Amino acid sequence: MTSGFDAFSLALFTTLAPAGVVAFIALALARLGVPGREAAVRLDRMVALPFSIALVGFIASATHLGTPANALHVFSGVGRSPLSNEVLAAVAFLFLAGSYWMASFKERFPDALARLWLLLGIGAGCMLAVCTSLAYAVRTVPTWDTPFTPANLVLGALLAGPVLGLLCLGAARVRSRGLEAALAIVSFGALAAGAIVLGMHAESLGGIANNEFTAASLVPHYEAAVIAHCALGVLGAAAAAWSIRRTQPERLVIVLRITASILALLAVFVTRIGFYHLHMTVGF
Amino acid sequence: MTQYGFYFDSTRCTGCRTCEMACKDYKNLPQTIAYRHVYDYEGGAWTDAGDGTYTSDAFAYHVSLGCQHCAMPACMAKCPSGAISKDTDTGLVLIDEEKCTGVGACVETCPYNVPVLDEEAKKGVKCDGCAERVSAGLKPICVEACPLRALEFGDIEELRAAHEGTVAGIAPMPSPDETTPSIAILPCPAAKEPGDATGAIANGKEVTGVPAA
Repeated sequence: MTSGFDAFSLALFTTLAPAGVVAFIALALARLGVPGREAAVRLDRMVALPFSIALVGFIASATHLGTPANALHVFSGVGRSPLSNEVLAAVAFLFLAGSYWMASFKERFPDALARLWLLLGIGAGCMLAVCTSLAYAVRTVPTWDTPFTPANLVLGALLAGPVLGLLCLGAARVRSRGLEAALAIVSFGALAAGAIVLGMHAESLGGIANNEFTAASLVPHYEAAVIAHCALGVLGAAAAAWSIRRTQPERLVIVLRITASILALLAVFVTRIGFYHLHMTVGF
Repeated sequence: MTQYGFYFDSTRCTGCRTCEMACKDYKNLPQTIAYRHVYDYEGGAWTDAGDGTYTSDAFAYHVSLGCQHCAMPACMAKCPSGAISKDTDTGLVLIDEEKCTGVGACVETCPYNVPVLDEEAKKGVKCDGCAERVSAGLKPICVEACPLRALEFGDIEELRAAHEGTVAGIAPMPSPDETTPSIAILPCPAAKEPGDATGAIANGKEVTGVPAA
């Protein structure tokens, strides 16, 4: 393919950025309801983690630009082009999350300001997830222009994001039982729903073809990828859930959550790669 | 706005590629890029009746396609940097290389495989209908080069009026509903409807980079 679009970098972006957003939201929720000043500061420091994960994704996505010098023209399409909307949402989220992290180093950081900042960040993060989901609604690309695309993206974010959120909370040594349980439940729920949606998506490919090939022939290993997704996802979510237990050393909690995050991100990544290999048009 | 476009007479085309080569020469294109492609669409079979006789529904025909300069270009709709526009006088779809980021959204969305990424310039490139020749009152180079006079260029409504029985797509082209291409094709007797499944592109590797099955 000579489109300049690179399955690897885009799969990395759509795995990391939405997961980073959800992890940020998890941190922000913990921060909004946090008991003490000390814990709030530790949570603020940890914003760096989801921020940098989303940033790495964003940078990866920029590597498939042929002419980055013209990149700012992307904003000319805001409102009209779904890709422009996505880039704007990403920039807004990264700006709000990154500037929050830096501002929180200030000695007297007013709590009211912090709350407003976090709420804006949550809003921008949600916009990014929505815009990323909608960027593939291209009528001439029948394998992308389906309800499965946004569903897969959002469910992938809800699988890996909460696990990553648990890692952030663990690293900040903020152990809120309710929030931790909620994150683990969201992750498991998204995995179950995601497995069903991926299965339905794989099923639907049989009916899509153009003059050159069938959609199913583009991803001969799609079923294997879905199985890998489920296996990695179950392991990741289970490791995260296991880490919630109270009676274990703090170091083990962190190790479990790092492992869980890597597994969950990998689970999402394998299906994202498949998604980009599914690219075809109604023509040739 | 006048909408300019191509007329292609599939009853005349012999698949000689003179249009494609004249374009490559005029536009000084590298070996790997052609703005116009000739698709060989073939299908059918010989059937043995068992009594020593055979019947055949084998067919082959050629479709020469540059850019369709669609009324609703998918490439323009999805270009994030607004680098693709329709000329207000001619309706030709043009890429502004000063704005192109080379992200490839046009390449991904065009169902006619028209824009391609120039690996050297790192930008999207495509048939511009020889806009500079057209503004000088000339015809695009492919039209003038065709030895069979199978190509014409002009106001697409006038071309449709002048040639009875034209359609906006034959196989292997997709249904014209997708992007409303500004093209008028006179189908040869063998021509199949868009969406036809009885034939296949026989020169896939040449025109789309995908080897024929």
